[in-house]
Amino acid sequence: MSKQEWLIGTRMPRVDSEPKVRGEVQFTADIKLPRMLHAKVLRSPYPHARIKSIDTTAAAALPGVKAIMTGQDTAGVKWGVFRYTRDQQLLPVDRVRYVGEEVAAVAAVSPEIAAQALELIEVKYEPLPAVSDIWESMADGAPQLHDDHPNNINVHVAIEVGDVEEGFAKAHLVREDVFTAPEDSYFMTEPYAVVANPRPDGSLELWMPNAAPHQKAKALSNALVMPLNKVIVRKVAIGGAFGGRSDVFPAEFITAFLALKTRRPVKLVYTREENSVATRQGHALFTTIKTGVDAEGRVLARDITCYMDGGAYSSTGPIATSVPFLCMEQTYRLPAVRYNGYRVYTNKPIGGMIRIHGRAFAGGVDLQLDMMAQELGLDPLQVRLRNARQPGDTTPTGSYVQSCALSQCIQQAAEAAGWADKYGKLPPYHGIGLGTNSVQTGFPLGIRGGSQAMIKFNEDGGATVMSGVVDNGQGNDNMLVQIAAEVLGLDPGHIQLISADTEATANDPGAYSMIATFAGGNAVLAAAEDARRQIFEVAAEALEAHVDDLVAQDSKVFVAGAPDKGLPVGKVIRMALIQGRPVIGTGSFTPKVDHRREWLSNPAGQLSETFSFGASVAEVRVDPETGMVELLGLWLAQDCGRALNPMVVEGQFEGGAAMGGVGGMLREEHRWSDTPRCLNPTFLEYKVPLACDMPPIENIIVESMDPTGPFGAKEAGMSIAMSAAQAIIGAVSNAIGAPVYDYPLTPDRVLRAIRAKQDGEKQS
Amino acid sequence: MQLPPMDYLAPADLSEALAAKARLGDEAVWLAGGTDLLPRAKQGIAAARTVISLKHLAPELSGVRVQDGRITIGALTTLKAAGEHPELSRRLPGLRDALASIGAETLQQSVGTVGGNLCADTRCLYLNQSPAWRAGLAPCFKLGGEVCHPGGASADRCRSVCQSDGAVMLMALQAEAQVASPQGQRTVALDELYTGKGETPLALQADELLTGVSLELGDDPLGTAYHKLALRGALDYPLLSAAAALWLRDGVVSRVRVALGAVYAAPLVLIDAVAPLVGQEPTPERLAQAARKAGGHAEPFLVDNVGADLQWRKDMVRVVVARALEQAVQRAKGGA
Ligand SMILES: Cc1cc2nc3c(=O)[nH]c(=O)nc-3n(C[C@H](O)[C@H](O)[C@H](O)COP(=O)(O)OP(=O)(O)OC[C@H]3O[C@@H](n4cnc5c(N)ncnc54)[C@H](O)[C@@H]3O)c2cc1C
Repeated sequence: MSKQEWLIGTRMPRVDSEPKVRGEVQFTADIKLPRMLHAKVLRSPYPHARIKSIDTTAAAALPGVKAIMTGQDTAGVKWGVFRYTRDQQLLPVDRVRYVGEEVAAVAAVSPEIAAQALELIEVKYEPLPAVSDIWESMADGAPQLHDDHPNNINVHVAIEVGDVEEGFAKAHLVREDVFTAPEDSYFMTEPYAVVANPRPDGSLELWMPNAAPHQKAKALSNALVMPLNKVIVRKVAIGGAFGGRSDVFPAEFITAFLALKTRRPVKLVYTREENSVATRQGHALFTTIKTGVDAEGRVLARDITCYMDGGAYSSTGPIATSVPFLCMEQTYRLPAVRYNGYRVYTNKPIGGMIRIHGRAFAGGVDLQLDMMAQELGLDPLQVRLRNARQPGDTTPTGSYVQSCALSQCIQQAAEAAGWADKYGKLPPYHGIGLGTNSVQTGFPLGIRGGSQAMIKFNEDGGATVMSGVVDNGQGNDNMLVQIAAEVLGLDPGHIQLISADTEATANDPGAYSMIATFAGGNAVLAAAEDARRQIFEVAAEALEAHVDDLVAQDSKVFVAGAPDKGLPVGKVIRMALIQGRPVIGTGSFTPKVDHRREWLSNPAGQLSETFSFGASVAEVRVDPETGMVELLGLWLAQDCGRALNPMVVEGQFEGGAAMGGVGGMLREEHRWSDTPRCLNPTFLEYKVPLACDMPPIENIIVESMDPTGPFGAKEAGMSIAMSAAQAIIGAVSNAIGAPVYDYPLTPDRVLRAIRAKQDGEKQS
Repeated sequence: MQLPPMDYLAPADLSEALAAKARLGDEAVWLAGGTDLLPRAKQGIAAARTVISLKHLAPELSGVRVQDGRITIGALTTLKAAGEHPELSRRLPGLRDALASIGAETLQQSVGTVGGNLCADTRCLYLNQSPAWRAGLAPCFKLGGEVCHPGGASADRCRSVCQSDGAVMLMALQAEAQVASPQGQRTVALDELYTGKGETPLALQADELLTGVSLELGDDPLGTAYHKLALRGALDYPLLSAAAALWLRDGVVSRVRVALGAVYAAPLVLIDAVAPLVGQEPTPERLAQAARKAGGHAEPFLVDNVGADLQWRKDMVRVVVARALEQAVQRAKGGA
């Protein structure tokens, strides 16, 4: 951009904040439609069982029940993110694979009657042997969850670049360590909910919290065998996604099916427990990391084998199994690397993508580097800087890195935290740690990889922006409006946004894989520039000026430097209408990625057009008697390209630190009975942190000005969720003088590490 | 989750309330703040057709009174009102801390009551779940069945846990409950109020109401302390807790009581572990010795049913007891 921006980079209050604060915004569960029915789902009480029969007679006879569906009605229609992972029947016909899996559903005139009807459905099961952990599951002779996956291996990602063995042979120091973590969860504020409304024209409207309306619509159009333009996913306020709303669930299929069957609107609202158990959870991980470094701590080779508990079905399996590795290969320079990622089926809820992308992966990589630095007598900070990704590099699997300020992030976070005065100088049980990470801005998504936007004008000079980008709480709506307002010189209040509606908006990849700003923002930027050019062409004639000399600001068009002689935008729009040249701006953006890249068969080529990078420092005090960790401070730095709105970026940083660090690394984990049933599906027993648990935070925005991001922007916050977690591991291990290999860092795990160290010292 | 349909009564005064309860017996339950009862009702484990709200009794049954060396707390006193009572918080900082640690200020503190806290049901990771969650599990002892899911095959009784913070501290203070029924008033020591049986944790008759709790402050300087382990700063039941009440005369322990919370179906009073402290100066070594013994005594009682590693909780008994005792000594000596 040649001109100085007036709105981009400012702390403009989000366009959606006020109505949210006033409680006026409607979430899916708030939607009420005339004649609407209420649905409830009957779920499997067995981790693994054959469904012998389902008798719905008594339930159907209950007054108020309008429809019942079982797998028999849906012929076992299957869903999978990829053709080769289509392993989940949206309503199982004859077999259930985890406690909580959908078995039947009822639509009735009230939620109470629907719930009562569930109790009247008689299902006869034949329980089958179940597997609850990955080792059991992979063992020969274990019960097989899916016919075509021997030893229950759902996905195997195999990557090898460079000569790994040679790297180890040349290394000055080689370490191999194992890191583990159980499942974690998203705990979005809003539990999952769906409303489906069949319309007289044969179309079906749907509302649900989602991360990609166009993807939901496409999957449903396949499952329901309806044309895509008849399956309309509408915009609705969304209470969080965090990776847990990215794919398609039985809930929307069930609701849609019941609505079509009854020809009435149907609403299904999940309980908190259903949201935890029957949408997605983060994978449990078991990761072995072997790293070889030279005497200066430069990594020469790394070999990682990771086993992930995927639960009963594939979901985003190939992606989820790859992303932990990809984040790592983006962050650090690696001459030679080998990765074997195995996603293993078990009779547990389905694993999905979540924040840290493997606590026992990202955390392990950084902690091991710290340990090696210590063995070599080096400062971990220097070791990170020596290995840090640089702009112009190419990652091992072939992604060119067009912008990167990782080193600056590391340095600035360390400086703000007072690293030099603290590392190695703090009193016992007081420690400091550093985490570094990188995330993508999008994946190769084929025909759904690009975003398109449109802008039309009203005769008063106000504009309506149309974009497929969805806002699930992170501020995407504001991002779109802020970009359009900047380019068009309009007050944000003069811009109406239509977004995330598959009927009104064109294709968009969705708000996951951190692509919304990069693709959706760029598309709106292009549409706004197109509209502005059209406005300038009309105005140029009236002002007898050259198009290139015009500027749009304060709802006026004028020759640069002469705002007094300008024309109001509304007037230009009216002139354009009279002249038969109505202003409609269109724009699109398709990230430059290598579409031949495939998660399993070809993990090579440009993954994402650009990448964001971040570093966090944590300072902690550990109670040596209890193992309790007190978080004293977090310093969060990220290269987000450009902070379009620093206030929103800071919100993303703090949210990322709360989720990945304070929650994900210090408290949160799912616990299981031996059946296995999730023992803590609710907020009380699953320890999501509270405001009072948050430490002081310092946000450090680093701007590398990405050459192709909108105004230089990339992505904000996601890498902080990871680096904050990694920093806390480093800090706790630094505080107790011993590594902690098992996460989250609950007091029992920390105390065990303290004891292991003390035992070791006694023996030697 | 939805509240099941229940009848609702709101008697105007104590005698009307007692008469209603006597008439309905086990079919009815008292409703104070509802912060323990209503979540259980939603979970389908409150087993009551009628709730009898105590709201009109609040003027009669709330407030803190200090008189003749006794503190009496009305059963309907809210946690916040009790904890912030100047006299109570000055004399019994341990109780203040215990009450302040319950739930969160926004709900439990402002509507939850001291009586409700003392009468709150025991908790279980397998029982405090939705009916849908429990579907397919055989009914457990507490629901009239023959198994205990957290206890496993060898369990012959209910292994639910008392996680009431107030009960533990008041137990250490050797408080007494005042109980009313149509037959009149009686006083029950908390030691007797808690049965230790998960199935029926409280020794109250179906027609009885807890009207208050009171305790002797004693003549000697008293120090009280409450140490709670939890993973969050609020909205978190204890994973383990220790309450200590310790009286000093001329620098020597004249009386001491320690109780543990989140161990089993009742607060666990540790008598033998701390008995040797009486008549002695509370030196760090002696306190540590008592805490070590407490660990050994508590270990066989500890139930693995609160969502934290059992071995860690066993190891923590010594630590929480030591910390509670040390702070109680400090406070008895006039420290904060
Ligand atoms: C999210 C959450 C967190 C919580 N955290 C904690 C915690 O950290 N520590 C803790 O101790 N508690 C905790 N609680 C439980 C509860 O909030 C407290 O125990 C509170 O003090 C209960 O008081 P109440 O007046 O709301 O009781 P209610 O729910 O009204 O009653 C509890 C039980 O006692 C009976 N009852 C009530 N009053 C009387 C009476 N006067 N006589 C006889 N029986 C009576 C009722 O019938 C019911 O069975 C938590 C609850 C929630 C929902």
